[in-house]
Amino acid sequence: MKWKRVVSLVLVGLLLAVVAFADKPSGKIVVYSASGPEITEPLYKLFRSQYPNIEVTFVYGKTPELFARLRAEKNRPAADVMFGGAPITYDQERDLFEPYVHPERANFVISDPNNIWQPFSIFAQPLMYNTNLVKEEDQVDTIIKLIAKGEEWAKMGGIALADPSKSSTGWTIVSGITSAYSWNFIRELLKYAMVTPGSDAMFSAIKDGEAPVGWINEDLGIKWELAGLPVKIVYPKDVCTVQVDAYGLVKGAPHSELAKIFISFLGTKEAHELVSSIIKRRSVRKDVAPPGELPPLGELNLYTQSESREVVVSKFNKLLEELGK
Amino acid sequence: MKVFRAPAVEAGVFRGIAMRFLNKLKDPWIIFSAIVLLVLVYLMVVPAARVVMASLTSESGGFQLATKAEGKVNAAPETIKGIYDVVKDGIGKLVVTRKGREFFRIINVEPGKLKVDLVEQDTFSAESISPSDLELTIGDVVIQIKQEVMSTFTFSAGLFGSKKQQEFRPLQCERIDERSFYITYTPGAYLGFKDSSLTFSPSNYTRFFSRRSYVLAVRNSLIVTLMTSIFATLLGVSLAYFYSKYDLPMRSTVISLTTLASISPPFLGAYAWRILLGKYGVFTRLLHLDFSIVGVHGVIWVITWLTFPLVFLISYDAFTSIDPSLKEVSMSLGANRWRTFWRIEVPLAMPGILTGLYMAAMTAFVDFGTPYILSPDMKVLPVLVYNEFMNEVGANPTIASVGSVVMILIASLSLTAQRIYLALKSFASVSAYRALLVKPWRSLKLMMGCFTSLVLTMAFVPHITVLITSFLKWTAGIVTTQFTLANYLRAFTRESYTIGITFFIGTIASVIAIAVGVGIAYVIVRKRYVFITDALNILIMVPYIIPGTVLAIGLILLFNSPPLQLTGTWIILVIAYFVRKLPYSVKAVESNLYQVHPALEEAAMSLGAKPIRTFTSITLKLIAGGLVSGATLTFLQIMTEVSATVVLYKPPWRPMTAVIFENAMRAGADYGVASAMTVILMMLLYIPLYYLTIRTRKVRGGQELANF
Repeated sequence: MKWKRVVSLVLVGLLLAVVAFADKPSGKIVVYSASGPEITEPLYKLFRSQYPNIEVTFVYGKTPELFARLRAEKNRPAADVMFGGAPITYDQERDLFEPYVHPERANFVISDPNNIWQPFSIFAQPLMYNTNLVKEEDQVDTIIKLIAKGEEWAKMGGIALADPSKSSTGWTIVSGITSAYSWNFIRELLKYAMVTPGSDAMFSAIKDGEAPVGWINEDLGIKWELAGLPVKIVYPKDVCTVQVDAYGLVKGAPHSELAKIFISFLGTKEAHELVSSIIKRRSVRKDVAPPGELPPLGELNLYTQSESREVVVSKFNKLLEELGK
Repeated sequence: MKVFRAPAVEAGVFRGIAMRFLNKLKDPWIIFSAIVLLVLVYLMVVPAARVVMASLTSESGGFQLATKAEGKVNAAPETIKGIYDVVKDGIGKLVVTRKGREFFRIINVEPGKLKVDLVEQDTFSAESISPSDLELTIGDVVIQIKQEVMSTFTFSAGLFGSKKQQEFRPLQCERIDERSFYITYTPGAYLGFKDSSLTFSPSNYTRFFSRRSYVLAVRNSLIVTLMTSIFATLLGVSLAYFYSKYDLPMRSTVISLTTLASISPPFLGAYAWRILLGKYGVFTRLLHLDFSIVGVHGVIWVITWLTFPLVFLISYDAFTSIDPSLKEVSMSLGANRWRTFWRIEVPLAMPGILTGLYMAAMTAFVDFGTPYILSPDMKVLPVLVYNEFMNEVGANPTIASVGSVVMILIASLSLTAQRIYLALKSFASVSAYRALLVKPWRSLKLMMGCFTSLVLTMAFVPHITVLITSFLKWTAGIVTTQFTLANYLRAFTRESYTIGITFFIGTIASVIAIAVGVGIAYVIVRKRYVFITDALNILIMVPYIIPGTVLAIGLILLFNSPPLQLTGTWIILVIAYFVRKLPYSVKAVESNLYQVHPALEEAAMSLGAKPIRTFTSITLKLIAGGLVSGATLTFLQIMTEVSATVVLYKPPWRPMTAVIFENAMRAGADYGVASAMTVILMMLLYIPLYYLTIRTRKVRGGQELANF
């Protein structure tokens, strides 16, 4: 009865596996992150040096997707902390979060009166050119001029633009442009655009030369530029959109006490010095200077979302349908 | 003429039926088959039916009101959807209609306050869900109201020089009388009114087919499927023909390598091609090409190298099993070599070739990873369904489910075509002796040597590239030329849990799949139950026509609510893997069972062994070899499953493919860890596969992979 022994061994093994996995070690928290590892990893390294016993699992995804997950898991949350995404998204979904008065609250330039979200960083979305495709003299510095040269970009792949229905960066960009100009302007833009399903696809498209130009989060753009990639970021003089990204404590978080430690850490001066020096984002702390490589926000013509997401998405989809895209 | 039966006779008939029924219950196999049948219907057919249902319904609709801080209120015209409409009447009231009938009126009282007058309904109630959500019930219609506060702060010159923090007011309902109430809100917010009850609407299909990008996705999918299967067949069949006929050098190595090549690194395989042949890829730059692999042509190229091994292995088996005497007869009757090839060998091998072609076509059709990686805005069906579903999470997935139904239809049509052809053209020519291999002449040897090494190099390009990049340092999503072991260190320290989970889920799913698979195969081969046997035979084909993404959506629709709420657990992953890969285990065992003569079982039975005992101590032992290889192949398939995983997984149950996916889709992500994870995954799979193909010297991967 050799096979019986084998089967029983396998069964015992499985049982052990179930027991081992069911009994999760304490000191672990789950963070849903809309920001990529280039942002979370340096922070996590610092966090581990301060709290070696708390382990963090990051789950990466697009902002709308992660919020949809949080909503779906409302009665049985899997995440402890949501990291990334605009404050407005948190405001809309305030029932998913537990208010928490951040110990560093007084040091932030902005804060949520309801303590649902905590501000993290501020970042603009300048244009990024692929310098292999676009020579310096052909790079324009306003959105108006960008559209005027639309035919040229279209020949090289199109202006990369993230679909607002699938990306909150796309929503910010489209909504920011419409508040400076109009929706007719977006219609023009769309004629020459490569609409990508998410902001990551937009960034990569420019980096990899599939699109000559598009928008980029300045922190990633400057890192790529400094790393010697063939990209150049240009802040458009007429409209430059800007986002604040936030984080919050998930309501009913399975490890809410540990999560609070992580959240407090995310607001400390040490963490924000890292935000500025390594992550290259503008810190929301009053006492941390913005990265030296980036232009001061005061010099830019800043815009942010002006219409609700649903309005932006509906109008955008209508335009796509009209243009047969 | 009326026939009267004596009650006694009637009772006798009933007793007879009852006895027969009871007797049947004594046969454990019929009970097993019935239970399995029910479970499979529930796990395969019901999810598909739910997807079809979802494609035929849509939410009733709603609208959004845009309010201004100073008090103006308007309906945003683009947001008015479904059976709702909003118009402004002469005195500035907003008249809301539902199905063309006046429903209620909204009157702007002051900034932050609206009055709602019901028109006909006499009952209403309101419940506050959260400070921003209100649930309004008017008659039998439920409307969710959500306030979206645009900005709690504004940017102005300087770094937040003068920030204006708007006062937040919760969304509340205040009753006035039976037919009217106030709604208070934060001035300047958007107020969304949404009725999510489902209504029947076949218009989803017209909506799908009137949008160009969706039609383009269908067209691209068909092009990719067609071209890939043509190329893969050309490569695979020509290789298989020469290797089955001539005694070419390193024959068994080539076959083993092709078997290994049939498993490709998920996601990163496509990414590797992008690193090499993208617009600024290693080779494009080296050779100064103005070329990019990104696009439909790239998808065809990558999937061709991924699927030709399948075609090769299956056609190889088909060619080698041709009875050589048929060829000899043809030649002796005066046909020349060419004529014999076209009239005898090709038709005889055709069922095998066609099966290979079909497998290649379906792999190409449902592949999600390759097109997802190979374009920033690729329009093919699996990617479309995934993107739209992720976009519609929580709501009724209309576009995703219409896309799914289109996929199921296309897959069913191809399966039917393949089945019909096989039924018409299946010549069984089982022969005990195989043709002797012909000694190849020198130029053929040389030519085949070059051709084979070229093909195998291409097939292993992704594997090698991933292996190399896993030892290189990555920063902000860019690979450098610095050697490092950090990727592996991080994969082991940070993701060891993931590796464990992958094994845990993969093993459980494989064990269930093989256990149930053995039973089903036994019933199919040995038992002739009315209806049940045929039904099982048809049911195990169902996974072939339900792509992974679609099955995952169906499972979510089915298991998203109590009493069986399984979404987000590992159980739903196990179910998906079990359903998707069951055919592999069934077919692997089935082909082995046919070789076990029933006389052996009958001998045991005649000596008094019960059916279960006979099965465990005779049948199972005789097919042990097939069982092991079936289990291994099922396990390999499960561990590399991508399309259902990316829809279903939720932390902490993240299999390795999901972690690789997360890392591969971020622009600034660490591909290094993803590469290292991929290498670890491939090693874990190649060890059992190596054991199976090389150590046992029993190269019959084709038959098992084909499973047809």
